[in-house]
Amino acid sequence: MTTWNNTWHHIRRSPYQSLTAILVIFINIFTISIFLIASLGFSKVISYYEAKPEITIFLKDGLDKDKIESIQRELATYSGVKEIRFISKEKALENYREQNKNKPILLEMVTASILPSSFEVTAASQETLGQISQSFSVKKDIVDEVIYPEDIIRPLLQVTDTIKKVGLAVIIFLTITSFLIVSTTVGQKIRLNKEEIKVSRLLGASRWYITSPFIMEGMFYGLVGALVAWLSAYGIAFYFRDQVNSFFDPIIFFNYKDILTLQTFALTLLASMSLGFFSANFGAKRQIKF
Amino acid sequence: MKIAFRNVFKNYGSFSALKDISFDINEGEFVILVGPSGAGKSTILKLILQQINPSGGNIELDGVVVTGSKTKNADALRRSTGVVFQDYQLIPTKTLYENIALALDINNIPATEHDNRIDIVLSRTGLSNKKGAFPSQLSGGELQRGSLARALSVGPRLLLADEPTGNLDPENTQKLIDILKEINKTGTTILMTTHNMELISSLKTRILVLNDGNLHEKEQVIKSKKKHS
Repeated sequence: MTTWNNTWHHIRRSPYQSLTAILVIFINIFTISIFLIASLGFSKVISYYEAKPEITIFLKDGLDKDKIESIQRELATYSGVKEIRFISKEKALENYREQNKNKPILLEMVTASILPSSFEVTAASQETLGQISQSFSVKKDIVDEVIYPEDIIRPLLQVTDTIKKVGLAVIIFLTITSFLIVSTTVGQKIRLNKEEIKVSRLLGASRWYITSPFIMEGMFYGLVGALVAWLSAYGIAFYFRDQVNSFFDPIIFFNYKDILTLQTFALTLLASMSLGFFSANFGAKRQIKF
Repeated sequence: MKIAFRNVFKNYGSFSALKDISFDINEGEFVILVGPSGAGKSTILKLILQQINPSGGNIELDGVVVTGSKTKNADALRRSTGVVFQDYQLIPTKTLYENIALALDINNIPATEHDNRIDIVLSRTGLSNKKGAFPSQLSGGELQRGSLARALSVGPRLLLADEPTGNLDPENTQKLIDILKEINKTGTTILMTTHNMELISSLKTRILVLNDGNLHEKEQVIKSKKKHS
């Protein structure tokens, strides 16, 4: 209790320095949280497409029944093909209406004639899908477009990879900055209390007795910074979840049940308080020589 | 607490502050260490408190050599020793009560006992009405007694007093000496430094004389005093 009283006394004695330390930890943890939420969302998008060994071949308009059947026969010749579904223009409209039933404005102008008919091919392996994609992409007279998941996954992987790299660099930079600011703040507080520390040493105060209030101060900055950052980052994500999720529909980009857990909360606090602990300890060791 | 210095040297660069000092102080003794400024009196107190290490020789406390011992042991020794500093060493941002409470806290004395202990030592040193005063609001004599109150609060086995009467008028000097005598009667070993010759002649205690880093016993002082007269 006395340690905490001393810590609180130090914090109150120079509130602006304390606020700066809390703010810098807040920025750090907020950024980490946002990057984590984004990374998790993108990894869900990638998993969704990876788990879907399917290719969609959109056909040109005006193909007769025989031509469509010959395409279906050709598709069946590929080994590993599990299912071939023909989606007529009417069926495509039906699917479109089902997907957008809550958005009447999107339904108004759409008719079956503007939607292309297509084949949805499911295969046992991505390799088979790759062969089909390669073969049908060049048949420009009958094929309008081939949607192959790998074409989506590749740029997505690049985006996610870039996010992770940039995120890591930013996080390292912010962590170093937080470490230096907290250790400098604690160092300044120690200098302010030099007289008290000197007398305490003469009275037989142990190393722990003297440094513990300062280390607790660092941990307090970590705790408050992380608490506010966690609430802000996850609060923002929670607030915009519908907009974000509808953008990535049908993938649930932000599922708050996965993220807003006691574990993520505890881990965030633990990481931040550890940062506070180590930086304060470093600051104290630099200032107090035993 | 028993103190023993065995052939102790202390050099600061080329300057020898203590030259081959040996002496014993028995448990419950009241010893005065006398000598002019710069004679090495404070050095002896610092050596006992392990604020500094000797350049040679050994220091024993209760028969245990403490020279070069670990910081942890030095901390424990300081906790069981009361020190009255010449410059008081009271923290200016804390009240007298808080200054004493700090010493109690360092000694792991439960907060529930603080009030009682502080009241006792403040009453003993005549500072009961100065409990909430900051050091800047106290006179020289009060500061010195405040420093003594803090030293006594932990119930020390050894009390080191560095020139405690240096800044006091005769009346306050006598008050302080009376308190020290009273404490000594309870079995606390006291080592006090001073350069006040009048004070020494009025005290019937053992006297160690330091001069230029050399130690002599009281008889030599008396002889030298006779020579001068």
